[in-house]
Amino acid sequence: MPDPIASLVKGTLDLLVLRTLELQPLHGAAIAERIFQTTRGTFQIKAGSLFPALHRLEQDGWIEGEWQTPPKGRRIKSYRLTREGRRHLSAEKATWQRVVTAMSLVLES
Amino acid sequence: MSRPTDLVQGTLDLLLLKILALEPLHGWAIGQRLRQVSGNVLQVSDGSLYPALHKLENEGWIQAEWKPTENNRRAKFYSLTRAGRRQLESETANWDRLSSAITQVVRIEEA
Amino acid sequence: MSILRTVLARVRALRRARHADRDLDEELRAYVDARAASYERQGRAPADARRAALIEVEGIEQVKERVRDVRIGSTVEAAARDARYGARVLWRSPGYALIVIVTIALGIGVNAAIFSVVHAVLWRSLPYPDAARILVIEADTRALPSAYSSSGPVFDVRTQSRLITSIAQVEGRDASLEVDGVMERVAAARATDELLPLLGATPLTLGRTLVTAEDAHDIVVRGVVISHELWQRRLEGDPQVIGRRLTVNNFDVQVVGVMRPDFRLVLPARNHAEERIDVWLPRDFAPSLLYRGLPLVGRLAPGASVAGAQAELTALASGFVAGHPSAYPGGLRLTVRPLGEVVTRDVKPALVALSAAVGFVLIIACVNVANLHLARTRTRERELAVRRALGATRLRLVRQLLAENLILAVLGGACGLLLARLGVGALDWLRPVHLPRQSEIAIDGAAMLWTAGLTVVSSVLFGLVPALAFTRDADGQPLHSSRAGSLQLRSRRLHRGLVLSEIALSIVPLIAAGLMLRTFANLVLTPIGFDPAHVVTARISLNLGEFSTVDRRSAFYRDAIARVGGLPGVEAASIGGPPPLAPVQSTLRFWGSDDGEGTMGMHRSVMPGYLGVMGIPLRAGRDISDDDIRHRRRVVVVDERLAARLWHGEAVGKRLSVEYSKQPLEVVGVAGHIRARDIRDSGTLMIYVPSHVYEIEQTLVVKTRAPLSTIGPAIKQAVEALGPGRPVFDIRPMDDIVEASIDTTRFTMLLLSGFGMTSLVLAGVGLYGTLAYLTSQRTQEFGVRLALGASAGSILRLVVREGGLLTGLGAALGLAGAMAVTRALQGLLYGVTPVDALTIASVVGLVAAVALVAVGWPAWRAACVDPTTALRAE
Repeated sequence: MPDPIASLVKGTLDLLVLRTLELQPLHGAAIAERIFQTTRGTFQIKAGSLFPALHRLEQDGWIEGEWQTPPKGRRIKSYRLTREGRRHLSAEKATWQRVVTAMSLVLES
Repeated sequence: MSRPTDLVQGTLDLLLLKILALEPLHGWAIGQRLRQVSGNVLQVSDGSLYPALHKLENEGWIQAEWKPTENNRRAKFYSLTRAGRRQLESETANWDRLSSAITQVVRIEEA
Repeated sequence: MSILRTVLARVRALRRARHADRDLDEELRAYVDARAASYERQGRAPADARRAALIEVEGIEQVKERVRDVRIGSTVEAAARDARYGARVLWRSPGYALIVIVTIALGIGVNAAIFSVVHAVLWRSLPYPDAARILVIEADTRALPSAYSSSGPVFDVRTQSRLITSIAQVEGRDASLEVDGVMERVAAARATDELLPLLGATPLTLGRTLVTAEDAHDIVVRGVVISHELWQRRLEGDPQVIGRRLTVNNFDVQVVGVMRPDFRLVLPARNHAEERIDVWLPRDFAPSLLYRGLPLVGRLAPGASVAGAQAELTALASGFVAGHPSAYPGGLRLTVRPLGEVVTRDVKPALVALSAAVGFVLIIACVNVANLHLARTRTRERELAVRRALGATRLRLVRQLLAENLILAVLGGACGLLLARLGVGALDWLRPVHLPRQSEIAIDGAAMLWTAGLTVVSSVLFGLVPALAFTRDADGQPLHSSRAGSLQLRSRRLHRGLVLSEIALSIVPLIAAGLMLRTFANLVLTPIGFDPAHVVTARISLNLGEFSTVDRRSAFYRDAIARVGGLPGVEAASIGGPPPLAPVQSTLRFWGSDDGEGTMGMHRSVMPGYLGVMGIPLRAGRDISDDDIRHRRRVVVVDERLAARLWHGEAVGKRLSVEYSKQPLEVVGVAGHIRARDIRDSGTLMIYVPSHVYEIEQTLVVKTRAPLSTIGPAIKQAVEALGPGRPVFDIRPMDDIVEASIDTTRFTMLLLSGFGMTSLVLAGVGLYGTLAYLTSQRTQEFGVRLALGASAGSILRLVVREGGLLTGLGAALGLAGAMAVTRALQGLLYGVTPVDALTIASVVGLVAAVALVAVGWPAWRAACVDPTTALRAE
């Protein structure tokens, strides 16, 4: 059985990204900005982590990228959550809740 | 600024420091205690535990001592150092900050 | 279905892969733009904002590199991970892996073997250029009048047809070849000069092709073409071989050509030709031979169709009959068909039956593995649930399970291929005499490809259903692997369905095998009218130059019989031929005084004592006597059925006309009926004439209990010691000839039985495994029942009833299927109908017996369960 602590490595970033996309489809920079804002600057996710994560999530079928051409300017790729992704997110959320609860059990013991 | 990945390494360190802050324990007992206290949710494999202990010892946050166990077998008991106690405090603060930030994201609009 | 969507997303991603790099570049540039814009909003100058954004990104190329790693890594790494994980899982349960591999190996092995046979025999086009346009022309000899060849005009197809060009005549036979005083029997063919160019054999390796004109009486030395193999083997590949003198059938010939290596002659069985011909002799075109049953070979003219050629021949034939109505009272029917079709005509039904049987074996194997796999997946429920809870997608788990299956299937397929190789080797041992192109049967690239395809298909077949069934179940309940009732019920229904179909499927090949077994038994047990036991046959070829007169030949025969009859261990000897049930028989028409149409039958040219040696009973009158031969009396011994038909049994003293004799023959004896053409055929009548009345190449028949290894050489030595020009060859027991005549049936019967038994064993193993599993799942239930006072007997009955019900239902379904399928076997059967009560009863009995054993053991264990252990089983 894999170690749940280790599974947090990937899980936390995934959780943040998926949760952000659950609210609305966004492009890469907007995702990073939104996370930066909601965590009040606690998490500033860099391109070097963000894009590999986005492409991994896309390959897993949890999010879907879509190219959009605004009236002026560059084509941008916007990501949205798939149904699989939604399901995965709720599992991730549950895991996160369990871990947080367990952590507080330990830290308050 | 920390990235979420730092969280994990920090988390295991934090847990070990916290467990050892209560009483000195040998390696196997640390894992047992962690499981017990976390209500079976948090488990650490030997493959992660021993490298982590080694690292904490290197950092000077914990120290090891050979002592007989309750079954009269010799084992390496780890205990927290003064530096370790300080590290525990800062890691705990860090965890609170990061976890509440994540929880914040997770709970948006649900709260 | 979301899994489908995931797959589609993957496919789309793959399709986009080419554009992926450009897209990624664009995406990152957009990112930098957005970041720069954001810095600008914070009040920085555009250039400064852009620099800050670029610094923040830490190098676009590095980011791209990391994304590429993800993209490539996720595919390759995932596959490697799946394979590694799968291998480890399987390594931990070697018993399961072994059973699955053996099952698949059986299923795939038999399919690969039969595929290679079907491919070589039925599908691969003949080894000639534009082979589809090579035709065979046959005449319906049954409709033709007596003595066609010698009286009346003959319709020469060759000169009349315009849609069929270059019509050739060819006839296989064996010949004695003498090179430097060493004699051997070789396969030979006499062919008109059109044949070799027609088959694309020209130009030859050396020299020129045959010339028909050389088959004439005034040509002293004929030109022959020899095979490449013979050239290498007997003539040391001498480049100066053209013009070299050889002796064939005691005639001097000279080599005019050497065939290309590996040339094969594939012809209808009625041309009696071997596939490897060593010596090609010229022959003149004899139009009448077509009407005596020798098919012609032709090539379709450019632009013409087979149907067109058929129409043309039919029109020509009816025109010819209209011109000579009295000579052709029965009309004249010619058929033309592609060579490939004619060559495979006889073996096609058997091969189709075998292909179907191995198909059943494979399906049963797959069902079996699916069943095992389903049971095993269930026991891994917890492991999979945990992995699912930890974020593994359903696609990932299905892929994982499929990877495990693929590993098993590939190993099974590899073992199957080995099995197929052994099987193809065993074909030689089974000796299917009339399997055309047998030499070409091999596990080749096509067979490998077929096997690989089957492997993948079967792994998906047996893997996907359980995999999907499971992961769907596991969906709603990530970490709870408690045995939910509905889940159990559904999987049990699936198990039962699979077992049911397995039993049903195994019934079909078993019934087919049973029918063939009955057919074979009928053939073996059919009274053939003579006794082949302890009879040895040996052919003699006389040099007609030396034995030029009837008296000389008769004297030689008498001497040979005396010499061989005097050998130690020999009870009796005589001469007569050809042997009954040998592939080549000699037919003719004969008729009594007021018997207008006459009877088409067979004849034997015999010396005194032939009937005795062959164990053919004399019903009335006497045997041919030595006196008959000495005085050249025109006498005949006739079949009892002929005697009954023509003279109501009072045959002795009556007269019988035969087509080659102007004077009628006098009936001196009546012999018991024998089956000489085919064991299945009881309608062909036989007459025995003294050897001086009609002469063909003769066969010594010797009644002896001595082993062939000692008596064979003794016979050869005794005859050949009488002088030169009388080689003895082809010494074989009469039993062999009889057996060989039903080889195709035996071949089909043995293979079908093998496949039938394989299906039965697989179905038995499947039944046992599944019931044992289902029963073990109910251990707790049984414990409760026992604790509540149920008797062990009632538990036993419960389990047996479940198994019995499955078996009964499966058998009923299988029988219904068999009714539909075995009708196709009709043409292969003898003395048994497709709906044979005995076969059906035995097969059902056999399946029931196997099912009883498979059901009984788990039932017994269930009944013996200790209630307390059972209750703790969870």
